[in-house]
Amino acid sequence: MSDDKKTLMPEYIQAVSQLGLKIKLIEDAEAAGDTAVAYDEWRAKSGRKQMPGILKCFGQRPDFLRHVMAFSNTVHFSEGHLSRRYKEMIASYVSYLNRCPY
Amino acid sequence: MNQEPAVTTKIKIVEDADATGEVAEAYDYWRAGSGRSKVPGILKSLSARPDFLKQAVDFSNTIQFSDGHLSRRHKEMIGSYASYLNSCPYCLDSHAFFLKTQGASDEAVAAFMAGDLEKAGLSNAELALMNYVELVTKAAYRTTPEDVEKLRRAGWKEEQIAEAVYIIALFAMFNRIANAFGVPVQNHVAMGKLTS
Repeated sequence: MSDDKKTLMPEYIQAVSQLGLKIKLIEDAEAAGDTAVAYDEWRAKSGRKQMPGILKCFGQRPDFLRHVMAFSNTVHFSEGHLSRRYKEMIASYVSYLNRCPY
Repeated sequence: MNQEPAVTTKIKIVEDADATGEVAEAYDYWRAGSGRSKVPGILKSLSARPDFLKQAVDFSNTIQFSDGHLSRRHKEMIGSYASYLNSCPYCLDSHAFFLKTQGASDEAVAAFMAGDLEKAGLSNAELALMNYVELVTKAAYRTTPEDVEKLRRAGWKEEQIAEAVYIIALFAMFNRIANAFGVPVQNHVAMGKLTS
C-alpha cells in the first residue's frame, strides 16, 4: 500500500487489509461450469468485466450466488421504503462498525 | 377455537390473519412450500417487503435447509451455535430443534441450547468447525489464515469452509432480524415438535 493511500485509511482498515485472503476465492479466469455461468450473468447485467471480490466469495455455490445478487438488488440496490441513499448510509456505518474495509 | 395470545414485537409485523395483497401471497408461498399453516415470526418480520420475504424463503432452502458441501446436520450445528453466540433465543430454539430432526441426541441438543459444546459429543473435526463459527461470529475481521488452516488440517475441504461462512453470515442476518423485532420464542425444543 502506498504511503499517500495509507494516510487516507484509518488504522483499522490497514490492520484488516494486512491479513489478506484467507479462504480461496474462485477467480474470474478459473471459473468453470455453473460458477462461470453465474459470473457471466452478473457481467451481462452490470456491464462490468471483473467480478467484485464479495461475489467471488460465493463462487463455491453459484446457485446461492444468484440468490444473493437477486435479493441484494431487491432490498439494497434500489429505492424501497428507504431511499437508496439512506441504505448506503446504513451499509457504510455498519461496515465501519463491523470492521469491514471492503 | 382457542384465541391466539396477543404477541407484541418491538417492530410491527403482519400477523397471518391480517395479511392482505402481496404479503398474503408471500405467506401462502411459504405455506405451500413448507406444508405448514402458521407463518413463523422470523418470516413475518420480513412482511414490510414481501418480495424480499419470498427471496428469503428461496435462498434459505438453497443454502440452509438442504445438504450442500456440508450436511444439513452440520448446517444446523452451525446455525444453533451462531444463534447461541449472537444471543438469539428464537433462532437457537428453532435450529436446535432442527438439529434434533437431523439425528442429534437429546443431550447434544441440550448442550447446544446451553452453548456448552463439550457435552455435545462432537468429533474433533466438528469441534474445530464450531471454534471457527465462534471466531467468525465474534470478529470475522480478526480471523487469520492460520485459523482456516486448522480447519483444513481437521479435514474440512475448501468448499465446505466457504459454505460454513455463508451459513454463519446467514445467521448473523437472521439473528439480528429476530432480536431487533423481538420475535417470541416458539419453544419447539421444549415441546418436542414444531409449534407453528
